[in-house]
Amino acid sequence: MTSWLRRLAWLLGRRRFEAELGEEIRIHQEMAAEQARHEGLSPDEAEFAARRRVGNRAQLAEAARDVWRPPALGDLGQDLRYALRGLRRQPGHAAAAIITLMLGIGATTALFSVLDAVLLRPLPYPDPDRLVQVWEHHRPRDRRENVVSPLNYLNWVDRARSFEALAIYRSVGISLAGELPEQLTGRAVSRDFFSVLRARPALGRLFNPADTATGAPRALLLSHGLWKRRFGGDPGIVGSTLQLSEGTASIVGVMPEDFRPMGDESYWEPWPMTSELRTRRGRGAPVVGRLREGVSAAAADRELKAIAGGLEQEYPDFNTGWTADVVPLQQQVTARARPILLLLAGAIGCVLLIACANVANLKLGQVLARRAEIAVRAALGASRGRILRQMAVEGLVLATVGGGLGVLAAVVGVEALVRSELRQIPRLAEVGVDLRILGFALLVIGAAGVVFGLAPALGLREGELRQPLGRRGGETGGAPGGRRLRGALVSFQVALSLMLLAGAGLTVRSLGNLLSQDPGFDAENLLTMDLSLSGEAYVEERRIAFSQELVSRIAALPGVAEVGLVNALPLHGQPAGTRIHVLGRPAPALGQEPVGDISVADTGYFRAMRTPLLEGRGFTAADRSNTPNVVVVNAAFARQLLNGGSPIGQRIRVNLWEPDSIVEIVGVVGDMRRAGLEVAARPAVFYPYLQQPARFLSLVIRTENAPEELAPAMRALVSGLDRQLPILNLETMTSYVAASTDDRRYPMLLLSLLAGLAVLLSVVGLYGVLAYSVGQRSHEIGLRRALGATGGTIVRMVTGEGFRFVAIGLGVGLAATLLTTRFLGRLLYGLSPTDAFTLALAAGGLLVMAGLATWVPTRRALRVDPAVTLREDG
Amino acid sequence: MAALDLFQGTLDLLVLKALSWEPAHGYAVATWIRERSGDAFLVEEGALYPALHRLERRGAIESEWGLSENNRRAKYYRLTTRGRALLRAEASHWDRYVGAVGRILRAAER
Repeated sequence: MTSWLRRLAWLLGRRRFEAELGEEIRIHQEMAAEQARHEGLSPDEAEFAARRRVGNRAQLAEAARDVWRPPALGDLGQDLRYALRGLRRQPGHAAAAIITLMLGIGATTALFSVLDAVLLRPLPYPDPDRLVQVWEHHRPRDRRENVVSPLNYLNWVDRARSFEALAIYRSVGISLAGELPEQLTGRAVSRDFFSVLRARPALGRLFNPADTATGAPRALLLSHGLWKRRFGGDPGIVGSTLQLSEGTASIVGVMPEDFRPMGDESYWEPWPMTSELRTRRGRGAPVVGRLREGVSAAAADRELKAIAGGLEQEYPDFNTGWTADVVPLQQQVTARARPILLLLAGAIGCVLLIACANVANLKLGQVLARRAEIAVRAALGASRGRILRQMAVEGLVLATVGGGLGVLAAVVGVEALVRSELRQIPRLAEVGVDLRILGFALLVIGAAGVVFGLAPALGLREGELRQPLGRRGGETGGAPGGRRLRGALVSFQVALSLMLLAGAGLTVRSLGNLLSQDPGFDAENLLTMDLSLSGEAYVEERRIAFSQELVSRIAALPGVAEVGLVNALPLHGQPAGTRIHVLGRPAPALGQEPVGDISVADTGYFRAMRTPLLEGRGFTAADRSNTPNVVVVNAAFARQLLNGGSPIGQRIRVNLWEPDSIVEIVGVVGDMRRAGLEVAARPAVFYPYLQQPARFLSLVIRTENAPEELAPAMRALVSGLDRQLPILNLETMTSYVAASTDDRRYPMLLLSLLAGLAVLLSVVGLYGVLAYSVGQRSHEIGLRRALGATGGTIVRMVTGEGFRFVAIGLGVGLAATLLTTRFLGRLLYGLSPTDAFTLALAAGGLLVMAGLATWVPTRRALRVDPAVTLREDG
Repeated sequence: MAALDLFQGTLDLLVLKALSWEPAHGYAVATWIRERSGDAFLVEEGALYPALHRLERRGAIESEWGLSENNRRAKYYRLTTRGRALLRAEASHWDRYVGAVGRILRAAER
C-alpha cells in the first residue's frame, strides 16, 4: 500500500526524479573512473573503463524507472500511439465507427431523455403516485373516460373509503371588463380540489366555505401567469375587486407558477355543490382523487366499481350500463403522448441495435483483416494479453471520440426537441439530457465494440495467433465463420431498417393523404394575417370603419385578386360550439341539442377562400346593424340539422351574443374543416361582420403571384392606418395548413430521421462485409478468372453473397413490419398499416441502397488481375 | 576465482547488509559487496540501481543527497527501521534456505 503511495509520489515528482537519476549515474561513473586512476590507469583509459562498467546509461535509467512505474502504465502510452496510428491508417473504418457511435449515442440519448421526462418522471405534486383520475365508463358503448355526473360524484364521496379526498371540476369562463377586455378560461372546483393536489397559494388563501355562502362576493384564485401578465405581478392584488362583464369578483389569492394542472386555466373559482345539482342529469365534469395511504389504484378501482354497481341498481334510469374507472393520474397525463413516445422509443431502440451491430461488424472485420498483423506481432514476441490490450485500447480510443461527439449530438438533439414545442408531448419544457441514459447508451455501444473486437482474438489460442503467417496466400475463403457472423449481423440490420423505413414511409404517406384532404378552401396563393382591434378606441363603429378601409385598400394593391376577413380561420382547432335550434322544428331533448360553430365573416371571405356559395346569397353591404340579422350556414348544417332540406329562409335561434337571438339564413356555403384536416366539418353559422364586428380579425388575401411577396406591402399598409396596431401571424395559407399538422409532422420527421439513420448504418455495414470479403477472396477470384470465369460469374458471386444477406434481412424485416406497423395508430391516416405499396417501396429502397453498397466491392473484384494471382502462386 | 552470478533477491539482501553499517552511495555499496565477497560478486550497475530503487520503493531504505569523503556530491542511501526488520527477516530466511539446500545436497551425496 505504502509502496503504491510512493509510486504515486514518484509519478508526481517525475521530472525531479529524472534529473536526480541522471546525476546519480553520472557520479557513479566518475567515482569508478577515479578508482581506476588510483589503480594506475591513464585518465582516458580510466574514463573508458568506467564507461564500460556502467554501460548504456539510458538502459540503466530505464531499469531504475521500471522499478517505480505502475505496471501497465508504461505500455499504455505505446498502445495509445499505436491505436492513433491505426486509426489514421484506416480513416474510412475510423470515420464509420465514430459516426456510428455519434449518431447511435446522440439520437438514443436525446430521444430517451424526452421519454424519461414525459413518461417516467413523477408529476409535480407531493406524493404523485397517490393521485388518480376517476371516469365513468359506459359499458354497452364501451365509452371510457367519460366525464362524471356531479351527483354520482357526491355518492362516491359519501360511500368510498379508498380516497383521502375526491374533487370534481369543470371548465368555466369569464370576461374581464375594462380597457383590455379579455376572455379567460378557468375551472370551477369542488372544495377538496386543492387538498387533492396538495397545492398551496403563492399569495393569499384558498377558498373557504364562506366564499360560497349566499350573498358572499364571487371569489377567484388567479393563476401565476394571469397575475404576471394582466396585473404586472402586483403583490397587493389579494382582496382587490375585479370588474367582469358578468359582475364583480374578489381576488382571494394567487397560485404558484408551477401549478397548472390542466395547462390552460387562468383562474379558479369555487363550485358549490348546491341543490340544483342534486338531480341526476348529464355527465359533465372530470374527477381527480388522492388515494388513502397504502391503498392501490387497483383496490380503489374495485371499490368504486362496486359502488357504481350499487348506484346502477338504485338509479336505473340514469346509471344503467355505467361503471367507474380509477386511473393513476400519471398514466392519464401521458396517455395521449404515450403511444407515440413508445413507438419512437422502439424506433430508437432499433437504431441503437443497428449501431451496435455496425460497431460489432466493423470491429469484427478489423480483427479478421488484421490477423496477419497480429500474427507478425505474436511472432515477434507480443503476448496474447498484450495483443488483447492493444485492441481494447483501440476500441477505447474510438469509443472516446465517438462517444464525445455523441454526447454533443445528444445535447443539441434535446435542445432541438425542447425548442420544437411538440404540443402533443406534455411537460416537454422539463426535459434535459439524462445522464443515466447517456451512460447507458455509451455502455451498450461501447460494450458491443469491445465484445466483438475482443471475441475473435480471445477465441484464438496462443498457437493460432501465428497461424496466418505460414499460410500467406494459401487460403481461399477468408474466415468463413467470421463472414457468416458478419452476414448475420447485416441481415439483422436490414430487417430492422426495413421496419423503420416502412414505418416512416407509412407516416409520410399518411401526412400526404392528410394534406391532400380537401379542407374546403384553396390554400394556394393565399396570404393571411391576424389583427386584434382591442382597446377603447376601437368601438363598434370604429371597428367597422377600420376594417372596411383596410379591405378596400388591400383590394386596391396590385397583385391582389380577392380579400376577405373572418374572426377565426379554419383548421384552428375545435371552436367553441353553441346550441342551435331551427325554429319550427321540434325542440330536441335536453343534452341532445345540435351544436354548431359560430363565426363572423365578410362578403369577400368566401370568394377569397374559393369556398363555393352553394345556395342563396352571400353577405352584402346592405346587411348592416340596422337591417334584419342574417347568417350564412354551411352544407353540413343543411345535412345534419335540416335533413338535407334547403335552409334558405329558415330562422334559427342561437344562444351566443344575445340570448335567444333569432336570425334568418340567407345562404349556404361549402364545408370548411375547422378542428383539423382529419375532422369532418360540423354545422357552422357565419354572421356578417357589419352586424357582428368582432375585435379579432383574420384577413385572407388571394394573390396573383407568390403570396409572400405582398407581406411588406401589407405591413406598410396596416401601419399606415394605425401605427400602434401589431400584425400577428403574417404567413401564407399553405404554411398555416402545414402547421396545423405539426402533431403528426414531428413524429413523422423523427421517424424518417431514424429510418434514414438505420438505412445509412446498414448500408455501411453491408459495404464493410462485402469489401472485406472481396479483399480476402481476391486470390480465389483471380484463380477463377484464370480458369475462365467470366466477369458475369464474378459479379454474381460477389453480389450474390451480398444479396443473400439482404434477402434474409428483408424476409425477416417484412414479417416484423407486418407485426409492428399497427402500433403507428393515430399517426396513420387514409391507409392500412400493412399498405402493400409502402412496404414494397421501402423494400425497393433498401434494395437500391444495398445495390450501391455492393457496387464498389464488385468493381474491385472485377479488377482482380488473374496474371498477378498466378505469379503470386508461382 | 571467477565472478558468480547473483540471484535476484540475493542482491537486495546484500545491499541491505551493506547499508546496515552506515549510509552509503551506490558506488560504495557496489565496492563493499565486491570486496566482502572476495571479488566473487561483481555487482553490475544495471542491477544495483534497480535494486536500490526497488528497496526505496518498498520503504526499506531512504535516500538523501550528501557529500562524499572527498567532498563530492552523492546520493546516500540509509536503512530505515523497516529496512532493518527486512534485513533480519531476509537474513534468517537466507540461512534457512541455504541450510535446507545444503542438507539436501549432503544427503544426496550419501
